Amino acid sequence: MAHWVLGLTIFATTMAAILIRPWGVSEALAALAGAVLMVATGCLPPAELVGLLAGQWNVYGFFLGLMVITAFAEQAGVFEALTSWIARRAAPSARRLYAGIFLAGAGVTAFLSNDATALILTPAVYALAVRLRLPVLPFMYGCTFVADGASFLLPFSNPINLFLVDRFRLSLGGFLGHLLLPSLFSIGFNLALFLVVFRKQLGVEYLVSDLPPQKRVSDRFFRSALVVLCATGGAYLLASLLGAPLSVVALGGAVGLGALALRYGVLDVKLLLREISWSLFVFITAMFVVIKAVEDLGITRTLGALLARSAGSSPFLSALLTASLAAFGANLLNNVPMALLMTSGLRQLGPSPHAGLLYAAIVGVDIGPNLTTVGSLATIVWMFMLRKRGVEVTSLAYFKLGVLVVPAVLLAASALIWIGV
Amino acid sequence: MRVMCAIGRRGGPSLIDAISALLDRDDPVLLVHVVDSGPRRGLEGFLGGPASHGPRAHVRSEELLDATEAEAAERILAEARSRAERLGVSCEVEVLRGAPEREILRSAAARSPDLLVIGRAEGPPPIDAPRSPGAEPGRLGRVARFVVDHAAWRLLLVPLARDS
Repeated sequence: MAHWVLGLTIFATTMAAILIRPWGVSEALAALAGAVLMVATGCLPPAELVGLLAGQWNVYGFFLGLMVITAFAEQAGVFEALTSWIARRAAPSARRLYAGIFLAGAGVTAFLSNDATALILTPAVYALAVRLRLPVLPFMYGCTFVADGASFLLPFSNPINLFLVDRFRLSLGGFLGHLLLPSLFSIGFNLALFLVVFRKQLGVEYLVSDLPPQKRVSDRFFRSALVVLCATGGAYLLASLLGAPLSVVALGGAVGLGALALRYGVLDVKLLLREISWSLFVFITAMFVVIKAVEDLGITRTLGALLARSAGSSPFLSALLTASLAAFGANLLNNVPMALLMTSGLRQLGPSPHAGLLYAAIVGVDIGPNLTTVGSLATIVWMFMLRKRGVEVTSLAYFKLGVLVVPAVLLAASALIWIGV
Repeated sequence: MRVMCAIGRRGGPSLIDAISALLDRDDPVLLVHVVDSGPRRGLEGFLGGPASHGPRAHVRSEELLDATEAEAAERILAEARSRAERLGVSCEVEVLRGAPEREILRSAAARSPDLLVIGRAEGPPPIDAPRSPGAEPGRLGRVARFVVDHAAWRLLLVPLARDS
């Protein structure tokens, strides 16, 4: 009992620290402190650590491969080329350009992950809008929303999908069968809504002549990088179909792009190392430890019991409850711990819980961050801190859009999952 | 007459056309463009916040965005200046960065122009336009409204065609 209380206290404190970030402590450090405390207090036996972390090799490899691939794609000029190509074809209508960029964002998310869209495509689109003298904010919102809204199109579109896909051995067919329609709805509804909301700002025309000639580090690197990226996308699909580990594909793509960069003399190892978010590995490792400790202490059993009870009610309501719970949690905390918590809670229902609950959980943790500012409630707190320092942010506008998009997607996705089950 | 003319993202040449008849050849004209720092701060906040888990290739994007904004501002001013020069008006240009409404007023306060000129996006609404939520006719944009409210100088508000 003492351990149970201690474990719960450490878990709650860790989550609060991630949320509040006292004294500017990073999420990774807050999570690491929680993990160390869990082990030091015996809530998680140290002997379990190696097995626990070694079992996550696919997740680590996938995250690493994905980050390297994205960094090389950005260096090759793929994102700028993509945005310029769309701008030339959509000219002169800003609305057509917006739709094109939004759909391209969905494609980038599907094959290169939500992070690639949010963090790499967004600045490229921002630059495009500035060059074309178009209002920047609608484009920024479009990119950040589609990054999460298209995250459940494919199993590898959001790295956190892997927690559930790996644990419950979800097949590509099952994934698409349950989540293709909700994904298409999420993308289509979001785009249509934004075209209406931003109709005034987007009701202008632009001149293609405002686009500067493209500058690339190497044309040959760009062309061959495109080939490798397409091959990697195909390999992801194949690996998902065969149930092979996705990390092998991601790391293979990363090595392929690295070899090309070396061949064309554009490999900058120092820069590449700087572009990998190493703190993310600390964060997810610590989260694996904290959530495993919570699971071992039986704390996630309550979550499992709640999900089990909901599964007993109508399938639609249980899908909606699971998706909403996951979305709210992903928003309140962060979608990484929430995805792990949902995985742990669903494990309490047996080795193969009801498919509707699994896929609803994926939708929830993926789309949840869109509800408030740009990721989680932690972001809101952080935005308030920025405001105190006189930095103006656009969180309220983002929140208004999130409130329009997320509940509708959760409702429709739950209904579509229910129909598909 | 010392004239200060704030040029927005679009419509610079139309603004010059509109005021050229009021100017003498020797009137000193300053064309100002303000790079709106709001969206960029939002972007930086987004990239540097909790969403920053994941690839960090955006470390490269800072330079790209600085250069893009500077280039766009120069192009906007060059376009307006070239139109002014064609009409025989010589002018100086200045790029500012910040909240456009505040920077325009700050810059004007430092110069005390005889005339401050700003454009009004979308032109005047029809006097009998129906009122509907979200599209209220007759409302000035954020920048024009703020400048109109706070300007302590003679002010010329030039309606610009929506797509100029």
